[in-house]
Amino acid sequence: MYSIKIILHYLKLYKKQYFLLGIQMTVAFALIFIIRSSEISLELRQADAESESKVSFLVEAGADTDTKMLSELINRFIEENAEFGLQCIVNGNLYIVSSDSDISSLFGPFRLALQPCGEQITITYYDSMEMMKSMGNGIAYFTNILKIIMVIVTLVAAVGFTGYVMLTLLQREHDILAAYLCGASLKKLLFITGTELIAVGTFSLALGCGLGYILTPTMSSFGASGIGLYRITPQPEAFLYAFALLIVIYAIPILAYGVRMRLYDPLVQIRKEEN
Amino acid sequence: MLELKNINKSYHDGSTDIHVLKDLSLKAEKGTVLSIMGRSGCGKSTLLHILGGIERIDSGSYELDGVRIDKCTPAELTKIRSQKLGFVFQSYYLIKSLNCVDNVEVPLGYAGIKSKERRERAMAALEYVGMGDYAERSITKLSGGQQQRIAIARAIAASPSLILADEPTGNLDSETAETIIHLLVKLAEQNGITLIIVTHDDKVASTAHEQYILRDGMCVHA
Ligand SMILES: Nc1ncnc2c1ncn2[C@@H]1O[C@H](COP(=O)(O)OP(=O)(O)OP(=O)(O)O)[C@@H](O)[C@H]1O
Ligand SMILES: [Mg+2]
Repeated sequence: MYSIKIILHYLKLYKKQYFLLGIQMTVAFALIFIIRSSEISLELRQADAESESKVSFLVEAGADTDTKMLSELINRFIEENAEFGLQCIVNGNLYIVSSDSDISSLFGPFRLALQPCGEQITITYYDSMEMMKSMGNGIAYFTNILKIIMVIVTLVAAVGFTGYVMLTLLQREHDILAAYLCGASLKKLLFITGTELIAVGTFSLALGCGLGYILTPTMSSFGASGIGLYRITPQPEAFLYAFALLIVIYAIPILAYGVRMRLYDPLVQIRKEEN
Repeated sequence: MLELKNINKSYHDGSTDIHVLKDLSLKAEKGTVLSIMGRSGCGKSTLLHILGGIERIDSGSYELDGVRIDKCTPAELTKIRSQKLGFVFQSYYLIKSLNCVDNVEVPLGYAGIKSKERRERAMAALEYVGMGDYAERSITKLSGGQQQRIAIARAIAASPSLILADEPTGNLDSETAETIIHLLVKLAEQNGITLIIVTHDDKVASTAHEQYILRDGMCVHA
């Protein structure tokens, strides 16, 4: 297809401008993807935490702790309070005592029961929802910073895009007239130039979301705590969000471009160039 | 065969009306070369744009090879430009980012001709205008006369039946102008193409089979 050959020709000819435009858009889309994924992940995790709001007691053994005694003391406590259905999971030097029932009232007696182990151990009261919230705060804070960056990048990209669209048209007017005189319809020429812009936009969207997909998990580190990572996972919905933003932000310049091309008058252009 | 019958064309410029072409009639048999001269602003370019289907007429009729051009839709006009017309202008209208042969291929490409045949026909057209060795050269490195040859090769590449030339030698020195005009006339005669040349130059006009002067909105024999 000849049109494709011409589209590729101009993509190559204006590769520097298209490259810069593509980078701006890619960064904007990657940020949008990460931010949106983080926000959705935050909501999901918090909902999880709320649905199974759980209190656990964490016991961290020190280097010189008599772990045998600690285990015995914990097991005895579990037996003594059998009606609560307590369980203990051991993970290295960490002992996690939890139950499906509400055990918040047991924390005092639990500490008391472990007193024979001395100062070597640290006992913490762990509320999964509270914990999730405080870990989430770190991520939410960083997400907000990213949002500001995103707004700036997106605005710059949109302004750059509009400017670029108008510049392209100015640079192209001569070539468009030449092609028109050679028998190309204005519709086809509008299609060719429009396709270049859409190609760059689509490619950036794919690349940006791909990049966002890879980078999203790194957001977890802003919500790390002693007992684990706050999971931030890429969300497919974030792609739709980026896509919607592409349409909202770039619809205006593309529309302006279409209108400008519709108004393109070969006669005006001939008179401009012949004189 | 080309026939204009009593065409009129006016422009409205603010409050004033400029009646450029008044009941103009013109006829050209296939393969003839016509020259049109006239004062600046008398409407020569306007006439050429009408013949090229770029400009609409207010009244009258325009028939080319049995088709009423003045009744055509924009889509039909595009097809006619692609299949029947070739343009040669003072400022060439070449695409600077394409090399010579790719420029000649443009009308063939938009006419939907496949790449192999496109290349063959473009090369043949380049040979015809004596620019065969310049196929892969950049347009920007050619002289004015060479650029006009490329433009002529492009105009004939799609085998049109009518070539419209608006001051084709306007940017060239007299010697180059003469060879370019002889080239145009030769290819019109050899290929049965109707050629209409608008010019300010008596010498250029005198190479045509029929010479006209555009005066008071009408074409009269010189
Ligand atoms: N779009 C337009 N609006 C108003 N007037 C126009 C328009 N186009 C052309 N004209 C007028 O029509 C007349 C004919 O113009 P045209 O360009 O055909 O002249 P020309 O014979 O080609 O002149 P030249 O030899 O200088 O090229 C001029 O008076 C010009 O000002
Ligand atoms: Mg003129």
